[in-house]
Amino acid sequence: MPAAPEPLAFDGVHMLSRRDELLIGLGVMVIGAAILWWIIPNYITTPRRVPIRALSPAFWPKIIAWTIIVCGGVLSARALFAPAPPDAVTDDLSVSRPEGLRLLALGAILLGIYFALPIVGMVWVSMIAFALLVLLSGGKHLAWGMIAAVVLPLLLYFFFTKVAGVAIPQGQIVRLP
Amino acid sequence: MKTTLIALSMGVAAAALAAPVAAEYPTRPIQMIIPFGPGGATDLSARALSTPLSRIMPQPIVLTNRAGAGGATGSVAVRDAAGDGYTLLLARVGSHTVNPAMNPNLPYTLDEFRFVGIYEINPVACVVNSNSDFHSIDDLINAVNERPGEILYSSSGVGSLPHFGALMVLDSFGITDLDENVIHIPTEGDGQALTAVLQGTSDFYCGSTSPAAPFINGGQMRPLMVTSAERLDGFDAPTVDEIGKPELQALVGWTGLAGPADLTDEATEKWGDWLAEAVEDEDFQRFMTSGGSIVQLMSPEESVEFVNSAYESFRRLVVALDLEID
Amino acid sequence: MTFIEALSAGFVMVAQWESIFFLALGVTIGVVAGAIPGMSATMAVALTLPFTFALQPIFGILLLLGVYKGGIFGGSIPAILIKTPGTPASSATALDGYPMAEQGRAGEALSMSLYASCIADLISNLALIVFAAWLASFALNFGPPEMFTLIVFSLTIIAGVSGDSLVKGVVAAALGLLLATVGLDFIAGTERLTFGSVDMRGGLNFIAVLIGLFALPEIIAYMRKSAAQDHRVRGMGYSRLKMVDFRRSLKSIFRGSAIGVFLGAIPGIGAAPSAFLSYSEARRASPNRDNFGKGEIEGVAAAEAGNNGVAGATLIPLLSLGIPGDVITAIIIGAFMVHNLTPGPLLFVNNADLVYALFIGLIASSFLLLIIGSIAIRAFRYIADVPSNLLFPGVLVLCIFGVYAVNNSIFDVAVMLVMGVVGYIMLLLRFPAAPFLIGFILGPMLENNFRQALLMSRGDLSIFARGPITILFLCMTVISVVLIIRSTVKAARLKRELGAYGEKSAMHGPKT
Repeated sequence: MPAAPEPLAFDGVHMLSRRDELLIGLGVMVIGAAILWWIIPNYITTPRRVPIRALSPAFWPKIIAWTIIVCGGVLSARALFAPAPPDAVTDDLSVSRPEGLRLLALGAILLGIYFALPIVGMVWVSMIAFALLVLLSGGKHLAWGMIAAVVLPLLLYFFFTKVAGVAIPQGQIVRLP
Repeated sequence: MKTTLIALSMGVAAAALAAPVAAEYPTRPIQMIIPFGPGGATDLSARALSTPLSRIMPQPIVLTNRAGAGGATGSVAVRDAAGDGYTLLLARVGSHTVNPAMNPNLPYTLDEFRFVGIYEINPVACVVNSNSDFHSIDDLINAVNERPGEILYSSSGVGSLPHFGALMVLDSFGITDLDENVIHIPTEGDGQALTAVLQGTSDFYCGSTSPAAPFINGGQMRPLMVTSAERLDGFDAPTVDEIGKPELQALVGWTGLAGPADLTDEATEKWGDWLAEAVEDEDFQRFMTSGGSIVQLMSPEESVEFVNSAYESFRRLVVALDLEID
Repeated sequence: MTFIEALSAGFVMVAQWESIFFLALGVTIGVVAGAIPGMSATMAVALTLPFTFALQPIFGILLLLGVYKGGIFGGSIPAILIKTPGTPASSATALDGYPMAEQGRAGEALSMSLYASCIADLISNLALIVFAAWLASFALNFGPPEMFTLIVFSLTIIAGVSGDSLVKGVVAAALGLLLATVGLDFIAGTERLTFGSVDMRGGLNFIAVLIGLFALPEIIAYMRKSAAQDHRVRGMGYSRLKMVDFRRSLKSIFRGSAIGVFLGAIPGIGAAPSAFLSYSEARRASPNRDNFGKGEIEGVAAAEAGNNGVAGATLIPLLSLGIPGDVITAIIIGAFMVHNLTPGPLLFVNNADLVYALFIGLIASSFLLLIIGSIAIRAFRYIADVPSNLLFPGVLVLCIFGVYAVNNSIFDVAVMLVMGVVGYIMLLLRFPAAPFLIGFILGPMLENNFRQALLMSRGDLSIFARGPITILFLCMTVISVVLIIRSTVKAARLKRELGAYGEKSAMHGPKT
């Protein structure tokens, strides 16, 4: 039997700390409860006539919400009472400062993409986003990165508009042929 | 809200770019939005039409599927687009007659569109499985009267033509309390609705002839009646006139082109000419008639009148029978 | 026409160079389109359809079938290389294919996926030819109650893709099920969880959710750690598939093909549940169980076999009954109709030569797929050599274009971005993504069939035990659940005992 190379699997079962797991369990229960008692009553319209209760539009969502609540309970109970396996590696959920900054920057880029799309156009937004991400991830292979940032969106644009017949959003500033 | 903004900004962009060029109307590709998914009856009809159109028109057409919510998503996108003629909608009976008549919460109304032309008429046929005991529409009606609440019919969804069609037919035969007396089984499309008839999940289906045609030709299903004025090739069933219910002639499917309410006269006029030429194409005719449709081009005025009168008659029935979705 | 006459007439039709040309063209278009996220096989078939109007019927239909077959395989290429499955069906391939690519074994994964695809495709085509009539009449027995019990059974595959925590898998699946209820209600037509948005009325787009959930979290995780991670070169793509690996995966390939044929013959299920079911069955039966999800080649083989096993079988209801099993076959019906051919029982009577020509063409398509697929793999595996800090921005751009193209909607791009953040949070908190996706795919089928069945029976639950098929699936569900609970409890006890003895190494199971 060939032993598959698995560098990732050797460091044991990755776990979160018991405190984190408990918080997750409680959080899941809160989400389930919010769905059941806040979202379903307010955002699911039930028609005037429901001949059979199981046919109500809210029937399935309610079952799902209860499932989530129960599972949240099980998760919390397990975090409280079950011992962790001996070879567990506890992962830390905390984010270091540079990591946090990078995540924030990425979030800003993603938000920027969405809001700039209709105004600037998909091609130009993609070019800028590509270039920014290359810079954000350390700026290695910078020259290639900048070339790819220009070429890839253009290639995709021509493929989708000319071959596949999809109208890629052009924006209001510069239109491509 | 967001789509409005997006569509508005796209429209502004289009206007800004179109303005300096004083050339005639189509100076860039025209987007035709199909409010249903690829492969559906509307999509196939649009693609068949676009083939001759692309030969006639000076600019290419870009077909765009914008499916969702029984055609509402795509319809709203066109309603919110600029009326410069660069964004048009493939309107269909479901999205522009049945749904507006049955669903008071629809995010658009018929007045928000300007019709360019209807080019396809699709009669409705009521079909049953060939193994069924129903050999005529009267058998079906008798069965509903004898066994209320036991006869099932399938449709391609709530507020679709087959949903309304079955109810309209039953009503014309004097069946009351439709909610109680027949049971509606919605499915996710005409294909599934007909499959339900084929496997016995549903007893009958009253919808467009085109999806039913292969099953009729193959002898797996039997038509009980058609709503066309004359008998249809391949459908060995009486017309509504022969049955004595001429009012059911209003129950037909259609496909046409529409723009936003402020569509320019120039675009409307040009499209009228292009459509007139395109529907004469032989391949197009062959494709449409092979599916049981009738190619019939209406002028913008005729189209509006046709759609409005269909809407009015459907709406009256919806109100009278309390069929509104809410 | 006798059988032999029809067969030879069919052979003459296919044995023209045009037939092979159009078939090969179709497969090529399909593989390329499938390899581009957002350009699914469905879209490629829809785009090709108008070109077939002018062709002879046999050429046109072979062209479309080629696109279909190629597209289904093509989807596995980006799933493996950049964890961006172009179709829901290839997301099961990403579960093990992408970890393999990360370990520098992309070439192996791609070859395995191609071989599994071709074998499954061939088996599926043979099943179509031999069992069409029998499977078609079986499939007609699948009404809403049967479908519902089948989907309930399929939900037990969640256990196979949940990773370390079954409970977290169930939570993820429940969230997927909930997200699938967004849109207009199926029975009542009222709004559910749309929050007043017109875009949400149509529900959330499959591909947008899928790509957001799978591809974006990778990008976010990379961006967060990029400085620390850069020394890890992915450099790969050239690893070759080993004969031993292929041989030990054969069983899973055959099993996956059988699952694909079975589920493909039933209209309306599609390839994604089949791929996941095949994957989870392979995991259950494999001695390398613990390695699934971490780069197990058998997982890739099983997923692709389940996925492609459907391709020939969906033609069973199409050709023998005239029922389209999925959207793609619905489009192919259009191609038949243009040429005045009616799919259904009469096709075998009136156009037997054409039917046999199609059968021969289908068999040929499996071999063409092998040739064209291996060329495509050679061309695409260079992607594996692209440095990470250029690859991930490229993937993001590709996802934006692709997701937009599916439905021409910027809203879908927003859905993808939001799902990316949700997926990243799930990754951090150790919630598996695959059950979420399965819940999202199966959710509408589960709910709609349940409600249709109750409409049929006017609320009487006994309809779910109305025949041998429903009872069979209910029993299978109970057995699976019992087995899952037993093995979960056993694993927990094992862990506890290990804790008592302080042993560490035995966690990795029998293979160390």
